[in-house]
Amino acid sequence: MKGPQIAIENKILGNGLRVVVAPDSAAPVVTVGIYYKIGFRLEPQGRSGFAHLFEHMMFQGSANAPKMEHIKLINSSGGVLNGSTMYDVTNYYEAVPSNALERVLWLEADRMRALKVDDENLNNQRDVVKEEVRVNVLNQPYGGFPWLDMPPVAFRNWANAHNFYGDFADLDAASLSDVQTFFKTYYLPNNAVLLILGDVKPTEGFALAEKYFGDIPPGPPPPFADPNEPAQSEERRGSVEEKFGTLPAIAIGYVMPKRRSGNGAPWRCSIRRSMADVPAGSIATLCWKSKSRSRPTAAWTIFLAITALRK
Amino acid sequence: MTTRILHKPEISPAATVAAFDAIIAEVQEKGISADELEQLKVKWRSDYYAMLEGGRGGYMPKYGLMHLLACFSLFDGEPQLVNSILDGFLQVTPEQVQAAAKKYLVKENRAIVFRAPVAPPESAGEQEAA
Repeated sequence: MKGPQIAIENKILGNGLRVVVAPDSAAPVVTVGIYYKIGFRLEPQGRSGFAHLFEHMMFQGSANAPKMEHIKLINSSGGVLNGSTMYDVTNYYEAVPSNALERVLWLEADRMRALKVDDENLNNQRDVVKEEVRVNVLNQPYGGFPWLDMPPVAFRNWANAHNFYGDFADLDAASLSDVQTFFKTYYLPNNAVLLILGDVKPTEGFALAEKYFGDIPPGPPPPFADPNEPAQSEERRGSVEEKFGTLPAIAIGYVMPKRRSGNGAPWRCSIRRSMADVPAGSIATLCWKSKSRSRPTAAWTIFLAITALRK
Repeated sequence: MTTRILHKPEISPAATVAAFDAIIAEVQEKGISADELEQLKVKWRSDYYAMLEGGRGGYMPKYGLMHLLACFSLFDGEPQLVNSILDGFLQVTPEQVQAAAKKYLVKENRAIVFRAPVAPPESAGEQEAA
């Protein structure tokens, strides 16, 4: 069965910036995203949580857009924005009425070209991140479960196993020079992709990408994290304390084959998101309700496993 | 691939894991029916298109499509994969499901984390009510 084909055009600018435009004029809205190929895995040892801390610094102002200007301009245009840090990528994104597209591209280009960081902002954001950890993990029922609890039990390679939100001592150790080095190493046009989706014509999107990003200088290709793990020969188990919830919780994680290895699949990114919510809710019930309800859940689990195998 | 389970405190974690394992074992031994797999594919296809349009709680239009285009650009140099990966999902056979279960869903390929509640404190309300 052939599904609908989404219109996509892509090109690479002279400085290595990949640009993808997916036009759809059904609504007068554009979504803009910039993804940098840097995530938790590559943060230096002794600087756990740094990739996420850095994401916060990207909202602290750039050469021509002072602190808060970015958020103010998007919000006052009727738009929304945010960013997030993942294993191997960090993203920044905005959705705005399509007549504000150029404004968004100017803002994103300005911070790619010349992020402005100082100690005051770093200290401020260090505190913001710590508070985020307190709210989402330390003082939250089942906070960080299992995304922060599973890696140190399942993995032996520090890149895969460390605390991605950051130990407070490591966050405290982060310096302004760390921020500058990280920016110069990874926040390069040739280590990023710009995406423009929605009410935009490809020719217009590419022309605006060239106008705002075309002269940002590239840098040496950054190293990419080595995700390899030593061979596992037996089941691994660990336990953590739940301070607030009253129900015991269990997370069971299986190592899946590497993407596109042999007959491996290209959808690590898609599966990771979708998987989380499919078996979780129903498996909670499977042990205690009718057996007939358990089968679809098991099949989901296996189905997801097999999808990781197919190309 | 991580599954999360919450269970009643009167059931032991060991019994819970055993119940989970029994279901995995059933698929490893008997496989799944074509009908069951077909139903899963319908759900998967529906979820795939819903994911492309939304994401992030729905406040970001096309977040899912953006995310896939970004990942396929950065890691594959081929954003057009977004138009073809579904085909691979829909071609999965019951035999492949069973083979994958046997190969990957085995104990020496997994990790388990037990998140155990600390003993609940005596009701603070009683002290206040005294």
